[in-house]
Amino acid sequence: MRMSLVPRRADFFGVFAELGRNAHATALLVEERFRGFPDASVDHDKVKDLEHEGDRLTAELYQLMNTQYITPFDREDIHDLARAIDDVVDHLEHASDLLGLYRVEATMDQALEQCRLLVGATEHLSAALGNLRHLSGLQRHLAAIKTREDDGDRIARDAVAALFEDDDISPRLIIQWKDIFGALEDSLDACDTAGHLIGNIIVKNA
Amino acid sequence: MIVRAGDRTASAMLAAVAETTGTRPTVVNNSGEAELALRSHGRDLVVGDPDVTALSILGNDAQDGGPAFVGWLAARSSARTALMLDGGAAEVLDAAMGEAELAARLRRVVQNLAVPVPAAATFGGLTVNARLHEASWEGMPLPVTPRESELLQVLVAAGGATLSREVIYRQVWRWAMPRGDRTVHVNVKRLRDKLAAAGIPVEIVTQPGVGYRLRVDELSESRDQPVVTGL
Repeated sequence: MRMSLVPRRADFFGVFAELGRNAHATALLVEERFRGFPDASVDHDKVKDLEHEGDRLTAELYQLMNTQYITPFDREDIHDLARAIDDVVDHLEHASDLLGLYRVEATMDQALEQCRLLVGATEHLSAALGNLRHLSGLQRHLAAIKTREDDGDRIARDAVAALFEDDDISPRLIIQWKDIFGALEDSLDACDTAGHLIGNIIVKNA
Repeated sequence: MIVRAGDRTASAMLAAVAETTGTRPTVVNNSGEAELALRSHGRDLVVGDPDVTALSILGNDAQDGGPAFVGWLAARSSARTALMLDGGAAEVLDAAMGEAELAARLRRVVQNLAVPVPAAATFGGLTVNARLHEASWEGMPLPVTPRESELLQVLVAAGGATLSREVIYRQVWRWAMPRGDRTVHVNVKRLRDKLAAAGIPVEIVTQPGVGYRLRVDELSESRDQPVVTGL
């Protein structure tokens, strides 16, 4: 493959910004799906479309890395960051998919709370990714992501505990919601991972 | 089948044994829930510890049309077993029995029960029969799903009293409601929409922090009493 010696830094930042926007859009859509499920709800196919868009953007980023001799950051950091953002969307899509796959009858308050935190975390992630070029003014976004991830840990733990508070809760429901809470928590963890990676990039390139 | 033992462990164990007979029992935690279950689901079989299961919910004996009763003893006692059998109990189970014996004895009682007859509940002009998945207002059928008919029948059986989401969940879904679950909320909303679309003077009222109750505009709260009918 022919490598370009002329760096196209703008492309990298542009794709990262789009990845951030896509992650936030996915979180908003999944929150809407959970809130309205099962009656007035977003179809999972729409969430799947955003997940595919995320995959396409990630592939575009890898293509850029493979064709650019000079990258704005270490290749490893670009790769890891792209993967973390992809994980955010993948786990959101998985949680959305489980609603239909498990024939969930209705959502749970704790899942709605997790979705709300994901909307907030991805909003800040998107803002940070949109300003990656300047590497300044990003700390408050990273702190906000961390706060939401901490809150998410607490909510996920409490949500799972609620499933085991009574011996006579349906085992089917326990299986359903343990998986769904887990997928939402994984997405929030991936937001935190992406935040850490951005923080590392800032330090390395200061 | 309604199960109420003296402690949750025993209730859960009896419920698990009851399921081997092909029945998903309703586990209740107090006499009020037991009476509600009887009014909602009709009378067939109650498995319970007579020390904690009020005699009023057992009826007097099967000949009076009360539910068949299987006694539960946390500790084996010949004297108490004899008393219950003389009192009309179809069987007496105790904690000394192994699971296989409990299941076999309960299976025999269930098999000897008469086929449960449909039990309808009425509240004003509203009639609900969850076993037949039917609901009607003054003879006009209402388009409810089986689940919705069960929920409506529980509300009707409560006779205008407010039921918590946890009690409704237990009565309709036959499991304990996990904290944060919105299943009752979703199904109440669906029912509300259908009742409103039917244009009938029946409303499911929310009492914030407490639960839901049924209101029929033509009835005052002081005079309406649910009537559970059956053959």
